[in-house]
Amino acid sequence: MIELENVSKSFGDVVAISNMSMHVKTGTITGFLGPNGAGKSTTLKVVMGEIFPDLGTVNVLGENPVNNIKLKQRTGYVSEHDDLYQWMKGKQFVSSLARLLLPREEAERAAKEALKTVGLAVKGKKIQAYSKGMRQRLKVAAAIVHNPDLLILDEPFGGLDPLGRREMKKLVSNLNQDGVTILISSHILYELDQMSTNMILIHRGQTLAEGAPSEILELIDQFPHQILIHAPIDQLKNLSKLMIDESIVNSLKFGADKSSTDLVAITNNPKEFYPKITQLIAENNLFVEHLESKTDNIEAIFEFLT
Amino acid sequence: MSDQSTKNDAYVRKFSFRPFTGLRRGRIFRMWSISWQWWIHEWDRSRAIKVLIGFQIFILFLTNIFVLTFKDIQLQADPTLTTGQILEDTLIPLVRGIVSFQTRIRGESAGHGDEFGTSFSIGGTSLFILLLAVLVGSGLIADDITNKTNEIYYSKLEKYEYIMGKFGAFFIFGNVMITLPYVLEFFLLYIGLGNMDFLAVLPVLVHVILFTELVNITYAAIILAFSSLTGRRLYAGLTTFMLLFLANMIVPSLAFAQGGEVGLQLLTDVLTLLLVSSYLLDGESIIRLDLLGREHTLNLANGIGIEGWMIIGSLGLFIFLGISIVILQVYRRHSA
Repeated sequence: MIELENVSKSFGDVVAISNMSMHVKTGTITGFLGPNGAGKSTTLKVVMGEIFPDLGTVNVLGENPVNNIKLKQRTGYVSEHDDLYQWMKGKQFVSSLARLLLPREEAERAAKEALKTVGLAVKGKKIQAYSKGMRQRLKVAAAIVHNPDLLILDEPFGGLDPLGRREMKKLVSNLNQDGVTILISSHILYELDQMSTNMILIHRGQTLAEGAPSEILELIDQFPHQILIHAPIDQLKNLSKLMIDESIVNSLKFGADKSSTDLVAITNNPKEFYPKITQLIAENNLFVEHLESKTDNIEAIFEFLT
Repeated sequence: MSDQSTKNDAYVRKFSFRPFTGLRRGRIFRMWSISWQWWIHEWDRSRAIKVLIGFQIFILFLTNIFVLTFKDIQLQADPTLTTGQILEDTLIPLVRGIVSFQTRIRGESAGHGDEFGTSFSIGGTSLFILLLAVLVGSGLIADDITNKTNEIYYSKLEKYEYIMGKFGAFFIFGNVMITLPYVLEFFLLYIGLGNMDFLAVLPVLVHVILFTELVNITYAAIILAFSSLTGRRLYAGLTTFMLLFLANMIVPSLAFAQGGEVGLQLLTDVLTLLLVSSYLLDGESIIRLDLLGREHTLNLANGIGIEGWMIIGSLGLFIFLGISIVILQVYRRHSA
């Protein structure tokens, strides 16, 4: 459905994407993952035909996307920005965009349908009063109002709370089940790994890896994960001993201060680490205040992979 | 390998492209949709626009009453005067008043009402029309930059459709708020004054339409250019207004300081260029400029100093520059 071959694009001296190739199959949810500034938004705009590549070929739904109005009518795009007219009401916004492409009655019907699909039924409320989650869903409604075959979402989870993220994931999955091919970008791995049928990793404007999420995650799991554990000092000492005995860590790093209540555990096998440490804490009746992965920093992962 | 291929084929079939069976609209409709819907939303949200439009209609209404009331006195005072001349001498200066702030011009063949109409309309419509145009037009592209809504449009439309749609939006404004009231004014005066041959006064109507459309195009090009240069409606509006207004104040002042000599600086004043072009539309080549009370005669066809072609050329250059800025901004800056 989408094929990019050796595409490059520069803005002055800044190379946004360089020799980039990627493929998106029909019917899939393709996660497009990369750190901030990796070139994700530029790539998506190239796919949408908004930006002309300096080099390379772009093929979307079998056509060149540049100045291709027929193709625009088959694709929907949700940008990373909060691009809404704040003074409008939700339905007014969606139907006004639908009316760019459809006759009046059909546009009204399509707007109603799109709002129903995204689960928005706020009557008489202006967009400026919408929550972040509602705004994101409204943007999706505006993008699918003309019944596209391909939906491109640029960082749709940005600013959403956990509930909002869950709803957005469900919405994307539902749309995919209705037959819409999805290309979705994010800089946070765990937002995409479960919902995607395919993943593309991009870094410094180039594709690093492309494949099934399981394969990508396996690749990422080779990266030494750092887990921060916060607990009273005596509990940390006991837990450290247990972790070493069970060989679930490569190394441990205590804070410089002897009275520090922070410990960083480093492991190459996070899949084994998390269930095991939970088990150790429970079985030995230990008290741990806080435990978090420090490896959500995707830039570190990408540095490791390159 | 063949199993994999079969599986993929089935997958693709399951999610094959769903042909759209409904009716899609054409390019003209898409551009019209941008224009019309923007106008509807602008009307909905801005109280100031409604007030200014109300004021504009009130002034025209007042003019109508004034002219019709004093019609008989004028006809008695000058037996050679016809109702057709009263219509012309009222309406032409009135439309010229759209762009008359500081500069006042009298044509060599000025009619009876030339001074009257111009001075009457200067205080009334000119400032308000410019204010209204700036108020309406400055948000046309700037609002999309602020709200990033241009990206939504670009994802559904081609960029030139977006540009045409935005210019269209301004033309709707221009035609509804500038051209249409004066055309209506023509017909009201035509009916109210009575006793005249329509074909004889038709050139007045043509002049009104051509001149107001020229004002629409010029305002559209300049206001949209500033609107596309900034993401703030307020900045775009203020800058446009100040530049047009200041140029109109400074140029005659400079000319006055030079002892009434009008130099090439006149070509930088868009409003005066528009005003002079109205006289050129009437085929008048000798005009008298009132520069802060000091009159200066300008021959636009004697091969000396400012010529008619320079006036038209400068105006065309402003329009060209304005449109070029909009195109460049939309195609370059807003793509990055």
